[in-house]
Amino acid sequence: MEINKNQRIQELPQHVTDKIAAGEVIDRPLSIVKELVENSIDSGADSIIVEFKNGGKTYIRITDNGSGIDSRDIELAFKRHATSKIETAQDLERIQTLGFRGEALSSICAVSKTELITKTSSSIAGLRIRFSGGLVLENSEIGCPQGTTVIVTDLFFNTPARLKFMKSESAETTMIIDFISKIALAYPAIKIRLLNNSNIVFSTTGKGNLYENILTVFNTDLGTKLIHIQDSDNNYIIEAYISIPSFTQASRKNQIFFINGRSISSKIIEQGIAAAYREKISDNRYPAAFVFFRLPPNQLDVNIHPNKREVRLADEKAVSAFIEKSLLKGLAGKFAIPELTGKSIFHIPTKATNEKTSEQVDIRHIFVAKREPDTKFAYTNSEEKSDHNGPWLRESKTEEEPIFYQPEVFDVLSLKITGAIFDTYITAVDEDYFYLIDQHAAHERVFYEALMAAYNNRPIGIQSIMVPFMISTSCSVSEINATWLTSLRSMGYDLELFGPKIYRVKGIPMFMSLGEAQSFLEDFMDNVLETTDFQDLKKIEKIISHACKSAVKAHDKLDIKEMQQLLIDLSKTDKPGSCPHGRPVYVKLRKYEIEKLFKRI
Amino acid sequence: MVFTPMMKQYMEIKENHKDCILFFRLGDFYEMFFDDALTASREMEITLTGRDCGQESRAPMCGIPYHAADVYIAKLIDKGYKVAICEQTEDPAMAKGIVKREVVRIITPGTVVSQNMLNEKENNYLASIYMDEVGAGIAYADLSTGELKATELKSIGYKDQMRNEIAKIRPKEIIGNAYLYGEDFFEELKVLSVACCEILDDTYFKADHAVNVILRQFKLKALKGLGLDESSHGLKALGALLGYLLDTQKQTLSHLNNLQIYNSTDHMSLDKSTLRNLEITETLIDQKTPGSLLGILDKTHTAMGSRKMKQWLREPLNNLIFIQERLDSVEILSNDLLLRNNLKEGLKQIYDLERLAGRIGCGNANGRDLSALKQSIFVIPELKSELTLCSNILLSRLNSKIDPLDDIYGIIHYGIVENPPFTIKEGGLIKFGYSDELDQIKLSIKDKQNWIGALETIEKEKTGIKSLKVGFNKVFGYYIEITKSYFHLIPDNYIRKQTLANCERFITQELKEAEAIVLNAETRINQLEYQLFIEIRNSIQEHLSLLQKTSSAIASLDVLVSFADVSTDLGYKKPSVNDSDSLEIIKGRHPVIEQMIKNGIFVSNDTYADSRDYSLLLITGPNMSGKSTYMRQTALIVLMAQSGCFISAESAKIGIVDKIFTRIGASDNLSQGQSTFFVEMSELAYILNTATEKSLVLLDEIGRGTSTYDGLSIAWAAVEYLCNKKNRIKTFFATHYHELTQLEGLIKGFKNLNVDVKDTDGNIVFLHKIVSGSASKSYGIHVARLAGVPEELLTVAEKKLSQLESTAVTLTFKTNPVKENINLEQISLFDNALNPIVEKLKVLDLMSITPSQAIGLLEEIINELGK
Repeated sequence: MEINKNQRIQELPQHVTDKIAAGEVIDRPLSIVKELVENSIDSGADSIIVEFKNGGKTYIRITDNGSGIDSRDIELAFKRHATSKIETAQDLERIQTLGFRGEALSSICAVSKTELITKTSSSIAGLRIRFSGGLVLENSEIGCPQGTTVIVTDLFFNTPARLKFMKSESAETTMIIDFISKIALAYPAIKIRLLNNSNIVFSTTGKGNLYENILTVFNTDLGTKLIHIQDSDNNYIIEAYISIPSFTQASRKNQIFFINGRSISSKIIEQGIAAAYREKISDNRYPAAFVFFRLPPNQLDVNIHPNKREVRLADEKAVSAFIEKSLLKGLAGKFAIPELTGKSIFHIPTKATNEKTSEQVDIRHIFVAKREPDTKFAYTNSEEKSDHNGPWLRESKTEEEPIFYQPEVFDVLSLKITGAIFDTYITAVDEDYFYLIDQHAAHERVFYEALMAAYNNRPIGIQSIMVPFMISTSCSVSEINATWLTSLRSMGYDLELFGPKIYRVKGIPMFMSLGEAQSFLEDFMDNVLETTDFQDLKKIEKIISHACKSAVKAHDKLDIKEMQQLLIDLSKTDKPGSCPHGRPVYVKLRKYEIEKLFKRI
Repeated sequence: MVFTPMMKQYMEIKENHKDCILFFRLGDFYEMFFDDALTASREMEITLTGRDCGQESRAPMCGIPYHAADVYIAKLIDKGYKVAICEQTEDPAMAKGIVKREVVRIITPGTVVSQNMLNEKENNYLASIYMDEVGAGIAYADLSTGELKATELKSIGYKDQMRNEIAKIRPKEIIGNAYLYGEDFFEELKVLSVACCEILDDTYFKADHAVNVILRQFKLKALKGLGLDESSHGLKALGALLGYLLDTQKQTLSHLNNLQIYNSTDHMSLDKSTLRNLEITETLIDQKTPGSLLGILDKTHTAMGSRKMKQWLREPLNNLIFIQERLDSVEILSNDLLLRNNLKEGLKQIYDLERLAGRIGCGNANGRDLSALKQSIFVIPELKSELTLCSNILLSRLNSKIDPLDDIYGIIHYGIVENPPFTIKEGGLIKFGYSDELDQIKLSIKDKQNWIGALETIEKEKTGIKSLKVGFNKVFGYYIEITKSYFHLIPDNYIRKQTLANCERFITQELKEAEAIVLNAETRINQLEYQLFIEIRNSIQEHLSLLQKTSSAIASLDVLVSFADVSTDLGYKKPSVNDSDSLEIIKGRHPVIEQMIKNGIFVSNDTYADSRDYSLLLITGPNMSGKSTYMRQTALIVLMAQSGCFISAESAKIGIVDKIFTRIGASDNLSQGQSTFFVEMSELAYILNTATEKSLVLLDEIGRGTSTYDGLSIAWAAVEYLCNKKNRIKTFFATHYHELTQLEGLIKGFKNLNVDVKDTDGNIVFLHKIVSGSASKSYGIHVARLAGVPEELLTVAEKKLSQLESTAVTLTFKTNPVKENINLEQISLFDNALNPIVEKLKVLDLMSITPSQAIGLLEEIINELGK
């Protein structure tokens, strides 16, 4: 910047102060969306279209069918601290509208190119005003429907510093979608359509059905796991959808609160929820909760931060207690019984869905439970869809707290093996729990990790076999460019061409039995195609994990020593809690539950 | 010099397929020779070489590898060529002399079945037309799906109907009888459908030929029950169609088993210009789906659903009960989010069952196809269990039409492995346990393999040679390798095979026998697996009609779910449909423009029309103000409603429309040597001849293609004509002839509408709102200014306009004062009183009269006028 030689203090012109002040209100595309959508709601619209492109950086459009802005007010609407929503300072006490400071429009115009099209029901023609950096470029009449459309392009074109502070396109996109999702829930009677880069993200019906809106905006999976709660007392009204205790998540992502229709974050409500679920879910797990809370406006101060995200409640303890009490009522209902009950143990799924019929126990949770006797239940969530390598693995990788994971402390042999049932499940007990261990799943996990290690060039033992066996390759595998051969060799197989599409196997991985090695190889061959990219680790993982599954099918009945060995092997793996396909290895049942089954309690 | 034997064979085959490019199989290649080679190398951009053919000069030749043939065939078909595939029909190893070769298939644009050559969202129709002086018959088929339809057109306008049908069907190829040569039909059809057209020999269209072919195809003894009688045109068209298909495919086509005879009055009829102008399935400018109504409504999850939707939109219903059924089911689906989501999840997993059925019927399906079929069938019970919960009539009916297809599932499940390869001649297809014979062979090979595998250990023990090795290489096969130091221990039964630097390789009689079994096994297995696969495929053919019925029902379900999805997403409402002849739309929006418009600003408008008091709605108003949009949206909303979709309006009561006609915009048929005005007039003639009181007619600026008076007169007359019928035709008439607005109150049913404009001191704002009453001006100059026409020019134009407005143009009409209850005839511009003069002038030959004669004539006329 050029330095002014004779610098003197001077009052800044209006458009400069506007620009500075605007930065307070408008700091990213989301703020624009938020301010404009709140204006739309306040204007009485029952249909709002929100469209944005490139995370809102290049294009934001909000169209509503609300009252529109009267032509006489239009100039004023763009002045700072001009609002139709309050008149006196006392009004601040009884704010019922979402916006009130009168900063939004003027701030938006100051930092972008803005076009406003508006028409009231009484006027014949609408108005179209175009701004650039706060200056009016055009002001004309236009034929348009009733309501207001604001189109914001080139955000922060005149404040490059701001531009630099914007996050990545996808981050900005997520923020906007998150916000509009909440608005959609808060206003089920308003039809809201959200478009990102011209694709419909969601479109609510405006029929006022909160539950349907949750399904539309969030996923259907969640929808079937929610409990509806309605409660009120003299001061407070609550309506909420909360998840059954067996459905929990590793973050508070799906805890969404509204106070008097305003989406806010509130420690107080979080506390109330936590209290209601206490002892029903494990630490570090959170239920989904959509809470709509109402209280008299005078018990609420929303004017503590410009983004209105935080609020102050007059009586925090009372609110928290009310929420806990209301939620507890709902949780006591029949929907809230945890899934691991007598009923669900004997429930056989009729469809091939991924319904979880018994509690999945991540081995780390067993450990957690042991270390902290307070936590009686250890739940994990089961939100994955039918994707085989899906969220279970992902979740254990990323979202679990690694602090508790110390395999050498977990002595799997502290479980007393009591036998096996159906030649498939090892039964074991400790003081409080009865365990079922799926030996196939455990086996798969052991094999899988060993083979993946081998594949990733960690040396592995080879055992020669007395009588070599033959294996045929499928016709889709080429013999010339045999990368699959190299990879098998690295896994501990010794094999050579021995006839047309036939290979002779003379050595197998150390940790496998002959039958296992053979089944593994057969399955591996069936799934390798000529086109298989052996650099694609994910693909290989899939092939190997699939082959592992068929390998362990080869033998079933284990004697007690083999069971012991299996548990020892398992305890050495990185992710003992699940098989490579995401199915659980362990399931546990509390002694208490068993006693309940027998009506002892 | 004579041709080589191979060339001779080529010449013989080529002789019978002169109209095709002959793909002549030589080993792993398809080769083309002579002219074919020249054409193909040019069109497919491949290298032209030559081959000795026994003549002095080499024959031009080009070739493509057989496994990549699809791509090249597609290129040629795209350019309108036919391709004859000539294969080796005997095993070269067994052949004596030259290998036998035969043409096994002829591929034409209308008979493509290969997946790579088809657009999955489009039907690939072959149409056959038989026409003579009294009527026409159309039959068409999609070989890739098995759809087969035929119709008879016998009423007066059958030629126009035929045009409309072809425009609707949009075949990729048309075959027809020689009559089409007359009246330039042949040329017209080419333009109309962008299809490849061919006139076939009359023998194809002979009735007895048709009867024979049809009876054989449908395995019938008599034509009764088929709905076609021997003398009908449809029968002849169908006969030619089937004959042509059999000729080109050279095999039975078991999937063409369900003939639908339809009548063009079974659906709302959309003429060819309406289909085009309303941009129902593709845009006017570039013929693309995005930007068309289909582009907005198609959220189907299966390819067959997408094709079905296209069909539904091109053939809206006209039966109240059926429409109501569709609307009711869309309502159920749009209200029940969980149901809809579950159905969608199921539909996503279903492959293109129709085309799978087609490939099975044509004998083209491979292992992957059957595997895909099995996976799709696996989902069907889930769909059915969802549908079972619905009490809706249509959904229940679809449910009953969807068969669980257990038989097909069983056949594939027990016969075909989980991940079969693409090829069917290289084994790896058949599940263990399906065929004892195959399993036996495989086991015996396995035995021998194991024996060879164990041989090393056994022989080591037997001979005491520690370094003995059993090995294999591709050239010498199996061998026993012994190093020099052990030569003294070699047993007698070892036969020396190969000597290397410090070792020798041997074979034994037993090893040799085992080797023979192992090495020849592959061929045997492959042959057997191929046979078994064909068996399996043929056994599925027996269930094809069930599969086709199911896939059609699933396609319909997919469309309904898509309708429901779009309706909830875009805020469409359920219309109320009835049998009246009135039309009422509240806050209607143009479904496409509403979504495409840049700033999302779209002004909704109400519509009311009936065939009594509001039958002719004359819309005046400036250019660009939305007259066309308003008319089109009205038609589109009616069309959506009658297709069973919710509509882009707040509410509507729609009396079922039997036909929609449009005369919108300029659709120059210059390629056919017709002027804009001529096309406009022939379309007008067609409308006036065919419209009924149940029809909806959109006329946009009729008469603008000629001089002002001409045009105005025609427009005026058309208005009178449309209102004069006993049952008036609902017509929306957009025009700039403001003179016509005077007719309100004079003609029953005539009402003025205009697009509202706010005009404050010459500052014009288009409000896009339709209001009753007439517009005073067209604001053409205003529009010209918006478009950027130079200001200088505009100033002149404005001057001229005020001049004209104050004099001539308006005068003409002001001199015809309109009296109360005036007879319509009298207010006509060129009424009978003027006619003699006009007639007189018409017959006048300027070249043959003298100046004085001319003055005399003029005097006569003046006198006559003076009367």
